[in-house]
Amino acid sequence: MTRKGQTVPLATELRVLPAVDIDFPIGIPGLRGVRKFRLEPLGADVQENALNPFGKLIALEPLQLTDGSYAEAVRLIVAAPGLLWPNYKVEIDDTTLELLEIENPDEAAALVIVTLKESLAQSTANLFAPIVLNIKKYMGAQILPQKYSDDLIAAIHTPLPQL
Amino acid sequence: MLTLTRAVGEKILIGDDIVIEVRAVLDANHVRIAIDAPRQVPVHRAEHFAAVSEANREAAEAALSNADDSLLQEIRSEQEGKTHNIESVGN
Repeated sequence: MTRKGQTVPLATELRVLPAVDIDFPIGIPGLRGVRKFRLEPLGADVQENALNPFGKLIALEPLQLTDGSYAEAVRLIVAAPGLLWPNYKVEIDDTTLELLEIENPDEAAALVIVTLKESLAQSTANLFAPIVLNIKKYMGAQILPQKYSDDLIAAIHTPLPQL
Repeated sequence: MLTLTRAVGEKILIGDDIVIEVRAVLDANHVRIAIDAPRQVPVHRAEHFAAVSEANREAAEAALSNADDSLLQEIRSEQEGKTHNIESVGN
């Protein structure tokens, strides 16, 4: 049984997963109304042995905007952090363990959300609030650590390392 | 908005399953608060939630305007560069 403060294994590769539909029971902050996403590896055609930790999280429900209208075809670019930041640690709290029905560490995997800029080198990833998946039950949640963070904004916009 | 005065150890009940307790007054600017809520009700520091929400919206907008194609192109061209380098080292 997993315990409080359990470290979640970092996903290192997205191509091993087929495209899967994932439930986010409490949604994703800022993306109101979307609780179901499809996770797809990006560029399944990229060379077999090449480093490609990127994927797409495609909203399967319309995003509710603040003015009450809806946006379709919303998606996020995500990255498997294991190859990019091998020393990165994701700790999961009891509430999230229960929410995602994670019983063993090997059922969990962490991803991070990427904000694309002009180029890959200028792009950033949110290492403050990673996404944790239950890869057996296809459930996910973005976790916000409960500890106080001094350099919150820096962690939310961590530059991608050189590939 | 409802404003209440509570003493340390006193609680506030929201709905029938969210309990907020004032645990300690640390100094003139800080109080320690305990929150007990069902797991479907996320509890966050408001500024953290706001910052993450904004970052998520920014990421979603960037993913829309910056087609996956351009990211993929860049990954492919980097890989080609690397493959080329490895070959030239081999030679």
